[in-house]
Amino acid sequence: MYNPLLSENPVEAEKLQAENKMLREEIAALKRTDKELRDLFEDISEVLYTIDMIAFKPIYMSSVCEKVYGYEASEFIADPYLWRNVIHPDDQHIPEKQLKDLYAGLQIFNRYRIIHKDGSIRWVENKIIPKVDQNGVLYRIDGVTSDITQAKKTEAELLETGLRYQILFEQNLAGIYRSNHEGRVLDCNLAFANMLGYDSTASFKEIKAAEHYFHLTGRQKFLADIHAHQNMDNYDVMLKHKNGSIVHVIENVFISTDPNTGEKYYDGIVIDVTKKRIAEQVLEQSRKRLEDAELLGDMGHWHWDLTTNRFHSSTGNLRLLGLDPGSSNESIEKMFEKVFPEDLPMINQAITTIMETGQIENLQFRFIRPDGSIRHLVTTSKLTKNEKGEPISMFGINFDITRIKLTEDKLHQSETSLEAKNAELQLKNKELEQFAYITSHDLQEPIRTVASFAELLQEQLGTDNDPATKKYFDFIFSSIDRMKKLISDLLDYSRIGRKTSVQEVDCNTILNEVIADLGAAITESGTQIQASALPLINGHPTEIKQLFQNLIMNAIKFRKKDIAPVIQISADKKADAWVFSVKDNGIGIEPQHRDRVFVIFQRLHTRTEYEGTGIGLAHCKKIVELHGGNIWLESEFGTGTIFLFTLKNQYP
Amino acid sequence: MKQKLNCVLLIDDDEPTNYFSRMILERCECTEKVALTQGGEAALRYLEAPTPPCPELIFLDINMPAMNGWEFLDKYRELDDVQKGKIVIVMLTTSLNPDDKDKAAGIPEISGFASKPLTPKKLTEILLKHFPERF
Repeated sequence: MYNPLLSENPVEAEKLQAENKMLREEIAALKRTDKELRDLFEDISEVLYTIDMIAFKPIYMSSVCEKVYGYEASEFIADPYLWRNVIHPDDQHIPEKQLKDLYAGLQIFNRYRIIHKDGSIRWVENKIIPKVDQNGVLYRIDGVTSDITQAKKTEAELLETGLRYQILFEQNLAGIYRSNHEGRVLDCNLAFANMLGYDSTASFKEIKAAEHYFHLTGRQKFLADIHAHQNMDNYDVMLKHKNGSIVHVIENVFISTDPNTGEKYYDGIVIDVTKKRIAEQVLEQSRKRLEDAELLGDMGHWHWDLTTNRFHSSTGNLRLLGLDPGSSNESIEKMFEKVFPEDLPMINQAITTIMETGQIENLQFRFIRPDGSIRHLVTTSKLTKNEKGEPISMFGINFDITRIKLTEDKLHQSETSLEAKNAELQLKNKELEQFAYITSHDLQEPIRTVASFAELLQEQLGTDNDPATKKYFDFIFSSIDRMKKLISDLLDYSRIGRKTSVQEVDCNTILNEVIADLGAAITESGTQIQASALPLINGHPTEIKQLFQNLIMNAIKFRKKDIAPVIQISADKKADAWVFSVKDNGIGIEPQHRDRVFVIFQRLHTRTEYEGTGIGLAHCKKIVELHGGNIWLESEFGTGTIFLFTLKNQYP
Repeated sequence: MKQKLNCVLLIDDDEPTNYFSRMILERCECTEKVALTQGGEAALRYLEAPTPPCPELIFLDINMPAMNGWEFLDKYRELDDVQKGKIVIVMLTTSLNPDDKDKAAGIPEISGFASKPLTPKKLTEILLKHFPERF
């Protein structure tokens, strides 16, 4: 074998030895460089690798691969499929698609996921340089792989955050805006535009910020406030809807400053509270109306929280109780202290009742106001229970009935005094009747004396020669007769109902008796009496008879000159009384005299026309009233009269 | 006595009263004529006669059937001036009720108030008071 070192040519050998040495040094240098390079590769975070594309297996992997893949370089070298298998199954298509570029000798660049030995998924970035021989055959690739998991994650996070903010901005129910000092709305979301009635943010932004305020000075006030506070929470503003109506909003707003230009922006988040404000206004109106109603109705309402034993009063209730607004939330014990002591047991009883029945109505009690005055109240109350059925509160309304109470008391007093007066009057009436009875009785005595001595005088004087004397005696005797009649009528009148007792009276029998008694007058005048069936009633028989007699006599007496009297008597049954009617065909009574005829001693005719004392119908009236009835008349002057009277079914 | 009254009208439903009053008037010879009526309505008919008699003095009762003295005065007020004439009306009554006297004082048509019966003394006082130039 040829060995240059063993050459016989010393010069040649020396030369060879020198070359050999140089070569050795170069190799050593190369080895050193290789080592340094390798060390360098191992230091950098990217994985450097070389794959033999003929054998299709890695021939070099820098040891960083363990960091990225979890596998050591030796494992890659030992398992020719490992480098492909670490690629995430879903991403294997990425490098495969680029193979034809590689075969064409083009550098490729890709990103895909790999599955770390520990099972975690990581993102890597690859740069691959193909090596092609003079025949165009790809025989090797050199690649650099870097772990971009962190970057990828940050990127995703960034993307997500941005997206989230975008969504928050666009989809927010709250309005979001940025405006500047010149009063331009620089940016806003659709919610804010919609809030004020605009279809798009663009059309909204065209309008100057100041014009979105309901009040002309709204923007000025806003600027003053925001510069005074720098940032404001729950700032109340009235904005203007596109249609001109008020939009109540609250906003959180702060000033931000551009670091480069120093320009100030106002960034705000706005919530529409119009519905809430309107609801609040409606609520306030209702509350006011309730207060007014309570004032008008002299009433108030209250609420007793049984869990805390606090007693809450409405303004109206405080007014009823004479308490100041400080007592609108008072302890129940304090309230009970003001109840009229005598009424406390009743109130306690009422509370027991409410607890049992759930309700109590129109409970009357007295309450002592702080000024010492006593008010009469009436309360209606209801119990409220929780879902477990335990009582939790009582709700009630109070009415002030003090005025009604006072009126009632007065009424009661006047009723009492009226009763007393009535009794007094009855007594006086009795006395008067007694007086009339006694006086009329005593008057008979002197008139009898006058009559007796006038007769004696007439006998002595004689009246035959002097017509004047005769006339005087006629006047004396007719006056005496009249006086006697007046006295006896008055006596009868005062006697009505004095002695007789009430019993069952058959009016038919009574009428027949009257007709029999008046036989002469009836026959003489040719009177015809037509009577229908009359009832049985309870009454004074003598007086009832007198009543019929007077009425029939009246009808006969006031007959028309040439017409025989026809008297019709009947009775109709009404609810609680019989209505009797006595109808004649006599001269009738003029309308203006219809009440007067029932007054004692009132007459419509001179005695020369019709005899009488004017007591007959007064008599009838007294009899009817004794039986609790009424008497009246209907008449057509010149045609006849109907006297009507009622007698109670059950008297007394 | 210078000149008698031409006519005195008596209004009373009680015949003896009218008779008595007429007797007093006739005895005093103070009037040419005494007219008697037994109620307000009769008196009105008398005053409304086609040739109004125009009595110069009327004695009027209060309590009369149908039309009493007060009601007569109401109707009298409605008469024509010719029928009314220059009449002095004196209420002549047995009424003891002081209310009636007060009521009469309040009625301008009523010149006087006298209680029954009419006497020559009462008549003289009335004539001297209401017709001083003639008696």
